[in-house]
Amino acid sequence: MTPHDFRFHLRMTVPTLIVLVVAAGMRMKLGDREPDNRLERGLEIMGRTGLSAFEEGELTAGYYEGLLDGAQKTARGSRGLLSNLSSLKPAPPDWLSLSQTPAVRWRDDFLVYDMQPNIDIPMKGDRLQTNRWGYRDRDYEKAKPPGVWRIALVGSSICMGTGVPIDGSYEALMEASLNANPPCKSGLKCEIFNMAVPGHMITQQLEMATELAPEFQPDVVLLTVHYLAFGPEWSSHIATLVQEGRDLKYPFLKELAEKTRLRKSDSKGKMGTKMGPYRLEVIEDVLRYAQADLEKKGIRFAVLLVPFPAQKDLLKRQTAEVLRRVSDLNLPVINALPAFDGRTQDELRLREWDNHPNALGHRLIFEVMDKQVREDAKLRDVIGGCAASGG
Amino acid sequence: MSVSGFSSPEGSSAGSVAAVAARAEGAPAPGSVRKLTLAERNATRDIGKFALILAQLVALFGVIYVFKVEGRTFGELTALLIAGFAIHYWVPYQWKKHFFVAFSMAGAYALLNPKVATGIIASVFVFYVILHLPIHYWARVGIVSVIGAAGLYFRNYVPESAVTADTLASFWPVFGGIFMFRMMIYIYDLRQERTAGALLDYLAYFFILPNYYFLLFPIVDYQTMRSTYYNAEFHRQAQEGVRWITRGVAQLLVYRLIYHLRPNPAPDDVTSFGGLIVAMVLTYLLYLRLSGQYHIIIGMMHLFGFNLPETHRRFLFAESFTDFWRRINIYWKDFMVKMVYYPTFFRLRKMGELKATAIATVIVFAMTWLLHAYQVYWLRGTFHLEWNDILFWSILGVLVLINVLYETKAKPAPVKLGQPAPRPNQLVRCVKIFATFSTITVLWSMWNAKSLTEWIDMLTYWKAG
Repeated sequence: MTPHDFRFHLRMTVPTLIVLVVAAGMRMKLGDREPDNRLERGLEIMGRTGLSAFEEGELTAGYYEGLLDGAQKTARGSRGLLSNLSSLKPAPPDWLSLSQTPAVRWRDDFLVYDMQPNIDIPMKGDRLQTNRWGYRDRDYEKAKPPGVWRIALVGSSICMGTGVPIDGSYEALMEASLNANPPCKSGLKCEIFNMAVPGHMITQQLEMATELAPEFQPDVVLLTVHYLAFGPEWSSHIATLVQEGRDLKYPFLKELAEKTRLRKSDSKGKMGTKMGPYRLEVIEDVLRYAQADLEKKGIRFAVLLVPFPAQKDLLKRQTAEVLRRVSDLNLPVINALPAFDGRTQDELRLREWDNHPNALGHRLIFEVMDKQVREDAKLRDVIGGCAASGG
Repeated sequence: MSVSGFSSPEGSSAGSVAAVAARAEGAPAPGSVRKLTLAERNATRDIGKFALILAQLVALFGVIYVFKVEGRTFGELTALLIAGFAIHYWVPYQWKKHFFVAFSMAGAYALLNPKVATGIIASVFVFYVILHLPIHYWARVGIVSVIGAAGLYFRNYVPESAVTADTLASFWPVFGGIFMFRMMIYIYDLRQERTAGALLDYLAYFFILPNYYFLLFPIVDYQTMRSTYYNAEFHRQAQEGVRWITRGVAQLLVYRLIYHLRPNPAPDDVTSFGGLIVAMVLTYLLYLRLSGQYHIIIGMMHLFGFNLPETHRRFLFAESFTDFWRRINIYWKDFMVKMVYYPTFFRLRKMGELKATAIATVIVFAMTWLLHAYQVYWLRGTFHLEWNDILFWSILGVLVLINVLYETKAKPAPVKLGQPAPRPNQLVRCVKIFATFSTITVLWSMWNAKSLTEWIDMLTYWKAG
């Protein structure tokens, strides 16, 4: 066979090269702007260097780990020499997660675990110090003092400020800002009681919001919705409850278990498959239940959407869908998702092997939160305590 | 002898050892001009074509830069290679290989930690000295094997010093990526004088600049690399190289789309049969990353005069399992044929050709499975002996074996003298391609699942109870 000549190979190359160059030009023009159409979205995806939602979920789940099932799922053992995960550095041996430390407190109830009180241990580049209630925050009194506007913040490790100094988390920065520069003349001192626990899934957060938070007499419960609610491990808490024969407690969870026919003998993966189509429904049910229950207790309810150094797109799409489903509730929502726009993953994450937001990430979240609370009347009332004074 | 499962398609490296450049015939007569060798004629310059090739490479670099294809280091490698190509082109022919070696050695310091680069360069020379000691061949092989075994043993050793640990963690994958297979080939070829080559050939074989970045590297054959050096008109082969780099970059961008848009294999996104099909097909298509990288690597080699054959040839359109085996990672197939199949077949031929073929085929797939695990160990430091691996290679091996035996026994269609060969039935071809693609897709999704249980869970998405 006569080998092809120079012109043949040139003819075969040029059309593809032209397409690639044009695509590159369009990608440059797109910049950091959100894509408007499918073509732009495709170009944006082609320019991504981070992990996919699935692998990010695997990695993130590795740090939220199997606190629930005791098995550490890390993505580092992932298959494939070309796996993007192979570019991540392994965590050093002293980079422990909560279940590997004496700080975890196992429970026999719906919650499964929380944190030991009065703990002070090194953890993830900083210290984990808990107050007498077992939360990483100041040692507030259980009874709300007079003249205080108390917000109970419920979430997981991002909310808790893993790896970031206690006064550097977005919660601490927000509290300081509201007290240093109150959004209105309410005369009230603001307390944001951080009740976040690493690895808590949305269902555990519901329990925290409706059962434990009210004990501290908050004016508002602020529930964070973040990556864990949408990642592949979102249903792991429910799966653990079923496997261990614990009470699912909430009617919508019992209904879910029945309609998906969850069995004690099912593996976590199998249960995840069965519950998969109902993920957004569960988040919606959590928000509805929390709103109704807290209203009965005379406590306001608000939602905080927290970004993640990776998977910004995924979070934005999924939270938009959730908010659409609960739009009838007219919930006060702080949307901090744009906080990380235009920033790279490396700038925002704690370490090369840990995707928790670092100090910069927390500051960016705080700045967006602060702006929204001051500019939005509803948020000013609920978070800023302005409703109490009518100001 | 039936080697239809392993017969080389057109252009494959094992089957097409081109003639070495003709030597000049004796000393030229006084006053006469020396006749150029074939390789020297092939290296004749043409500034117009050079400019055209360079312009395309710069355009490709722009695409790679904008899309951050394979990350920042790959962009640096590409820039380095383009600069190297531009200089190499003007270097006189007799110094080109020297330049390539020196450039690759210097490039090691640009792309790697200096200690790692020094370690790699030292290793290459140490191995050369050992392999050319005036002792029995098997003694030399023994020494190198002991060093290799020690490397495997200490692969995951973590010293107390964090700096040393970091250096070693970077060193071993590069060491493995360079030596783990190519050393086997070199040692094999060293047995005969005519295949041993010179020091320069050895250095060019182990100092390949793209290898410092692409640790998962095509198993370039030593003889093929020697024999294809400037064996074709350079601008033609360089343009072919540019074509393959372009193809590779396009495949890597398509890979990105697939990677990010692929549904989770389990559990949330596979909730319908359509979802299952999409998840499985896209899992298979993730392989475009490997084929894209390999096209780029070999395309880059073309720019420096190494007219190596392509690594993948339309494997998605394979018509049978043997065809698939021949088209996907051709360099691996050729490596297996050279190092495993032929030695086994010829040793067992006395048992009968069919038996020898069958046994040799089984051993090839067993070795493929083992060497894939060996490769993972060098590059990742982890043992990778999972049930999905064993099943995948076993099933594929059985399918290829059945195909090979069928092809061996099948009678060719009669062709009348003077008449063209009958054209294959296109409908039958399509059915074959579809059947092969479907089977490989299913096997591939099993191979890439985290565990058999998870794979079965994914397949049984519809069993809600």
